Order: sequence, then C-alpha cells, then structure tokens
Amino acid sequence: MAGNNLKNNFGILNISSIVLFSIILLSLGICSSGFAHAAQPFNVDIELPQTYHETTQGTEVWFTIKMLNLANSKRVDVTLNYEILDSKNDSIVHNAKTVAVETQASFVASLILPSDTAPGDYYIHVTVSSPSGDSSATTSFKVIDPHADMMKYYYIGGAVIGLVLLILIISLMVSKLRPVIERHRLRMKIKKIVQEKLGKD
Amino acid sequence: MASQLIITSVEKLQNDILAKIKSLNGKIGIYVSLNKTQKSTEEAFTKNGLDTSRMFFIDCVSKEKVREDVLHISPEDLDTLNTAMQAFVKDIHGEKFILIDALSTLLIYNNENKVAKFVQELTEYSSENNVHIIAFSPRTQGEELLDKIFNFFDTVEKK
Repeated sequence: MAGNNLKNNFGILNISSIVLFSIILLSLGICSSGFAHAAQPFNVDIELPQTYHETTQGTEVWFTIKMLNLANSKRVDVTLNYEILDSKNDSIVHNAKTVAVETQASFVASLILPSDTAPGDYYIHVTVSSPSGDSSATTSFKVIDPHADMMKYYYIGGAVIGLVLLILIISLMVSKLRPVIERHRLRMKIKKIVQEKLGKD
Repeated sequence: MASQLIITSVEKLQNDILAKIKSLNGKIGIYVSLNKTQKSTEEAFTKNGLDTSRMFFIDCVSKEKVREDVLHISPEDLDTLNTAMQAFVKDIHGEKFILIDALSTLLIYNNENKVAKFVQELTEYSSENNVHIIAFSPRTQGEELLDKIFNFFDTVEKK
C-alpha cells in the first residue's frame, strides 16, 4: 500500500515536473511548435526528421507523434488525427488511427504529399482526441520544387556558355579589328612624318 | 608615270641606284630599303652629294628605331609595306617616286605569288596616282624567280 502511494507520488511528481518545464519553455518562447498547450489533456509533440524539413512533391513524410497523458495515468483510447495543412490552413492530406495510451506513448506515422503539391510552407497538424478533450500540435516544413534547383544550374550553365561565347566574339572582333587599327595608326604616323618633313602644303 | 624594273649586277647595284636618284632631279622619293639599313643607305647618299631631305625611308632590314621619320617594317609583312607606300603616295603632293632596293630580297621572305600580288597592287596604285616606280634587283642565280613579276612593270631594263 505504502509502495503504491509512493509510486503514485512519483508519477504525479514526474507529470508536474514536465508540465512545469513545458510552461517555462512556452513562456520563454523556445519550445518546438510541436508542443501542445499546457491546458490540454495531452502534451503532444511531433518529431519531424531533418530530412523532411525541406522536401519535394510526392514524398512520403515520416514523423513521430509523442504523447504524454497529463490528465491521468489510466489507459485511455485516443484517436490520432494527423494531416498536412497548406499555408491557408486547408488540409491537403490526412489520416487517423485509434491508439491506447497510458501515461505516454510514441507513434510513427506518415503522410504522402500529393504529386501536385505547390512549393511553399506546409504544416503537420496532429489532434489527439480523448474523453478528456482534444490536444493538438503543429510543426512546419517546406515543399520545394526539385526543378527549380535544376533551373538554377541551367541558368549558371547558360551564363557560363554565354560568357565564353561573348569572350570568343570579342577576341574574334579584336583580332579582326587589330590590323585595321594598326593600318590606321601607320597612316597617321606617315601623315605626321610627311607634314614635319615637307610642311603643310 | 612609268614603272621600271632594273636588273643589274650586284657590283653595279649601288652605283646604278645613285645614278638613278640623281637623274630624278630632286623629286620627292620613298626609298624602300631591303638590302641595307636606312643609316648606311643615307650615309652612302650623303657621301655622293645627294640631298636626302626630300626622301622618306622605309627600312626593312633594321628593327631598331633610331629616328621618328623612318619606318621599320618587316619584309615578310607585305600588306603593311603596301599600306605604308600608299599612305606616303597619298600624303605627298606633287611629283614623287618609289625606289625599291632590291625587289628580289622580298622573294627570300615571301613566296613568288605573294610578291607578285604585292607588285601588282603597287604598280596599279602607282599608275593611278602618277607615281614613278623604280625597282632594282641584282642579277642573281635566282633571277628566274622574277619571271612572274616582269609583266607588271612597264619596262624591264637588264644591264
């Protein structure tokens, strides 16, 4: 009995510490966007691997949903609704599953980005629905156009080729013009020699 | 004005040139020196009592620029040589002559066709602009090389 009380006290102490830590982080503004608000029954966190922070259309985005039951330590069934939102908060893809959570749990989930997804900022939004209420978390990532990156190389390549062509044209013009300029110089020199020797007659 | 090719022996070449210049009675001249430097040519003229104050020199032997009024042109660069002679003809008013000493030297540095083209252009231009051209050439074993250019001159004198 005394042992059970001690275990409960430790559990309450642990949860209190996490809640307090979360509040401090939130108040300092340094926590991840994946954290839920302290008032929610679950503390939800989304862990998005670095490789998906910038991704392309058609990619299957994998992430981990971490949940901490703040309301109680009893096992409860919760529904996980996770979706990808665009910058206008419109859902472009979503999925849901029901899982059982006791004090804390982690689930790996994935969503496939449609192949016609426009480049821009997107959000993974997770809502944990339980009898005690809803909790949610959001994290952001960026969809980039792979061809836009290639275009950059095409532009650089084009500019290099253009520059080489320009240099070739200029050298060709200089080589063609040089004899003309030299001949003109010679004529001017001869004019000066004749004028100096014979005078301007 | 006529164009004249004078072929003479190597020994007589210098004296024939001096005699020819004397006969031109102080006309303004353009002297193309292909055998000797301008300095030694002018010294020879002065020694023989010729006035060089009305003579313009194109030195194709020496590259060293000593005087501002002397042009140094490579005998291989026939285009520049032609341009220079035409520019002198254009800028000198009145009667003038061009003397080439010696034409066969050009055949050492250029092929026959190039020299023939050069002579053709020069004689045509001179004919249109009333310039007397006198080209000297020593009688040498390679005299037959001059065969191609004989026709461009009004007269060919063999001494």
